[in-house]
Amino acid sequence: MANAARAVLLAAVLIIAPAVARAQGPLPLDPLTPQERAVADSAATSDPRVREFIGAGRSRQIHLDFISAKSGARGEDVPPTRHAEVLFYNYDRDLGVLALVDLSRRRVVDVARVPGKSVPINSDEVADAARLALADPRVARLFGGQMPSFRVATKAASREELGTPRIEGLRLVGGAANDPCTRHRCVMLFFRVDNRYVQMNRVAVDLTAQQVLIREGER
Amino acid sequence: MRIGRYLFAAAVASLAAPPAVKAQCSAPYLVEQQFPTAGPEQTRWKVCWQVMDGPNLVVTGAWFRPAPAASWIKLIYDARVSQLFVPYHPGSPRYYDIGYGFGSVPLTGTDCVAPNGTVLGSSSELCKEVRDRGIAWKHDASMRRGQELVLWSVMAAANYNYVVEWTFRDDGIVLGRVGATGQIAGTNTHVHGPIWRLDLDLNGSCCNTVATMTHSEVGLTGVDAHNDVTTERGITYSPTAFTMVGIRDQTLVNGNGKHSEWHLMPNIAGIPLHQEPFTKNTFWVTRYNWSEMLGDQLPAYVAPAQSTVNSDVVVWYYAALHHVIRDEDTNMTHLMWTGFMLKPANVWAKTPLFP
Repeated sequence: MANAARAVLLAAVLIIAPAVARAQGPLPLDPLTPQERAVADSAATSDPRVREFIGAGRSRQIHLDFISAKSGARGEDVPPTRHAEVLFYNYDRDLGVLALVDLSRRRVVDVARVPGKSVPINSDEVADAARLALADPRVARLFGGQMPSFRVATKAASREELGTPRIEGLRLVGGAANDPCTRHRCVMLFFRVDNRYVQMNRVAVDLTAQQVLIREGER
Repeated sequence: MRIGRYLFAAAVASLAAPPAVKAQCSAPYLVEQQFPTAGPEQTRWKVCWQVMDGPNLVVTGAWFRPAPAASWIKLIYDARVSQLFVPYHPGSPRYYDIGYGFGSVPLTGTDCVAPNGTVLGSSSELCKEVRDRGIAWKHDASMRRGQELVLWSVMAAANYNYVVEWTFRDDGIVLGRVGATGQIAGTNTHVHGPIWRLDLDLNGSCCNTVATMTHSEVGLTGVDAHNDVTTERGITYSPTAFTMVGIRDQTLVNGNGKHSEWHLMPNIAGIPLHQEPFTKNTFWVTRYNWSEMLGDQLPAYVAPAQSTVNSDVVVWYYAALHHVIRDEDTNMTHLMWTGFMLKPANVWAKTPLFP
């Protein structure tokens, strides 16, 4: 009997309590739920300030994630409400806009502008860059007409994928005045064949001008 | 009847315990670790974490309890790598290695080895390890070994993987490190420069002050200077000055009435000074702003400079790995680290973990 009672108590602690917690929703510092992501996306894309910004010219959503935003009260340990941040980038203005979404109020409560150079790239932009590069005959010539059947990789290679031809990418920023990537948004493409990188630092894509840049070996 | 006794005992225990910190995150995003790991508790950490798209492992909250009967001390509100700048010696290419949509590298039991290591997260994105950290203190025949809780994750950045690691030690020290490993691209030396954004809310988010601490030699005398950082600005590092910064709260004091602090101490092999203005300082101090998350924007964040006295401050730390290519890097670059230490000062009134 005593064992049965212990088992009941243990079950209450291990099963019921977490279930109750889940039913009450995420705690203040938990990652966003899929529902919260949907709310943040909807709130950000329907906000007039954001719409005005992204409505003018070529733009895209770069990022959406949890943010722990403070209200500024003394001794505040965690934010009183859950927030998400949504980042957009406008190619024509070379400018980002960061929207702060209050998830409980389902609306954008603040926006901030981010200089274009500081807006990180996302995996969709690497895919766009790869599409442009693979259609460029100069890139085909780099592979001597034996272009492997590359696919764009947006996640780390699993053990099974290590030998598969893949294209990865990084944000390339210029330093010199005559470098187009000093003024434009650029991605450097990394071609990986049989788990080795080939044509390293040769193929960059200027996403602003939609041009493939063949660069001579730089490293 | 026995259930009643268990419940009564639990109720008594909860009454005897120090004030609890309300749960702010749920498993597996909450890690709580007592030290020593066996026997009566002496110190304890409570850490909330997320592996976010972009910065990878973010500490979204950390609280330290310096004694079982003591109150929890809030230390970290949000700590993350805000940018990773990788310029190559010829001047180009220059990369920002943090991007969105690439995820973290899933970990396995081979990466994170049991019994000390446990893989956590819905995408197996975090390794939690509890380790022996070697000698904590020793004098002749008396000594003690220490322990630490280590959380790490791996960011994928094309030909490199970055290990983003946070360590919480039994003595209240926090270590932040980034390690680079992977496949090199050519033979040119380059620099991997992480910029950490450290929103340290010591004892709460309001009333913190940062001070620089520097050393100088005057004749036979060593002189240490402590100067409050009164407005937002960058701070250079000098190896001869042992430059570090300390953060203190307006009201938090130890049993001797001294202000409790945590000191940010660089672990530096060299100072990267590139053309870009954000690389010109090792430390930066800014006032909290929810939208200021990007280390490469620091010169803009400090202009115009706002007051940082008794306020909600954010400390930034820029360091670098100077990667001189060796033949040993031909197939794979072994892991290289750079980072810093956050060391408590006057949190206890006497030596902790002693005897």
